[in-house]
Amino acid sequence: MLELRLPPESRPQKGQKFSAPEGSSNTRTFHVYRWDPDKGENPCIESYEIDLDDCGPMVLDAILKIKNEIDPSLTFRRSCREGICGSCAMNIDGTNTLACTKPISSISGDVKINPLPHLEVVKDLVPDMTHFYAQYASIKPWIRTQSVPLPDQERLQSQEDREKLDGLYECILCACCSTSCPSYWWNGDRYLGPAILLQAYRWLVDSRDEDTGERLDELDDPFRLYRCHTIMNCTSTCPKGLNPAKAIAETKKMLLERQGA
Amino acid sequence: MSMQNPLARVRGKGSSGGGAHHWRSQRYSALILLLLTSWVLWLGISLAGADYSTAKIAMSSPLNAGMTILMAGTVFYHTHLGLQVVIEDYVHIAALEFALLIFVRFACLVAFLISAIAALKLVLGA
Repeated sequence: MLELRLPPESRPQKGQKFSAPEGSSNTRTFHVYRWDPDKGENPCIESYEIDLDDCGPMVLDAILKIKNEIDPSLTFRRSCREGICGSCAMNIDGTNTLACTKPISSISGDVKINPLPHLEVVKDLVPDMTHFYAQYASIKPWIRTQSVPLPDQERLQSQEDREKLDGLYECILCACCSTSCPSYWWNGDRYLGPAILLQAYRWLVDSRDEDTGERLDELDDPFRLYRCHTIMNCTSTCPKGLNPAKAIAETKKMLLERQGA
Repeated sequence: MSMQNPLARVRGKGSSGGGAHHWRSQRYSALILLLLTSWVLWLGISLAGADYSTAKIAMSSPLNAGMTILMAGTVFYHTHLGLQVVIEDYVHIAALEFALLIFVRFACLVAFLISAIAALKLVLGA
């Protein structure tokens, strides 16, 4: 059944509060989800008051400041700090996004930070991405061909065909879209979710790929593809401004065309 | 805790191959319902204020009876397809899900048969 409430042991409780240093005038409070698997306790929401005059502009800067100056045990993923690695995807102010490209100034009031929804939490803001990555592997995200390439030539692609990959190749697999999708929450075990379906479409429209039929066969399933009910959370949350819902709709169109209407 | 490889879990029993058919049927039946509903509205408006015998005569014409049966078939087929998706989405207790899916299929079929027989009764004057 769908779960409308978290199980009792997963419900967050009130945690500690940390005030900003004396004399800071421009402060903002960050409510951060904390859970340590080794403690055997419920998760809690800890509140950190940050002096914004002594902090970088992005939410990731504030989280790093908390880790560096207040609590070194705060656990989260981050790497590139410029929106290209997808590591720092988390739920900020109720929306899945990348902490490194989300300006603190774009949020009014206190900043609420939680891990990506409906994934198991490893610790604090780190979700378990194992299933998501296995789903990505399942679509075989590499060029699949039948023809033998000429030994002295690459597989060529016209500029027009290359343009079909725009809006698809930019996906960084941060999982913001998939974990914002209610269908993925309820049926994520079988539904591939918007991120993986956008990646699948990226290979469906690649002019160099020769396995389109097999790829469509793999997707023609009531759960893998058709759990998408065009809720559109994926498109509205994507921190890269991509449109997974459109990629899914185009995939459904390809399957329809193949059947002959 | 399962020791199954995550990829094996994702690949599962493979693709069932029936997704596109269901999706297409749901869309097409919705489209047909859009047309049939306009027809029902038109019929209803044209019979507004008429007495029972006039309405009975109108409904016993082969065209109107045929359209009514088509309407009933499309409504309950579409209902079945839609409820099936709702059940698959939200009911995750396997036995209950299976029972509900069978029940919805059966209930829609019975509802269609009752509607169709009622429409035929008017035509045949039984």
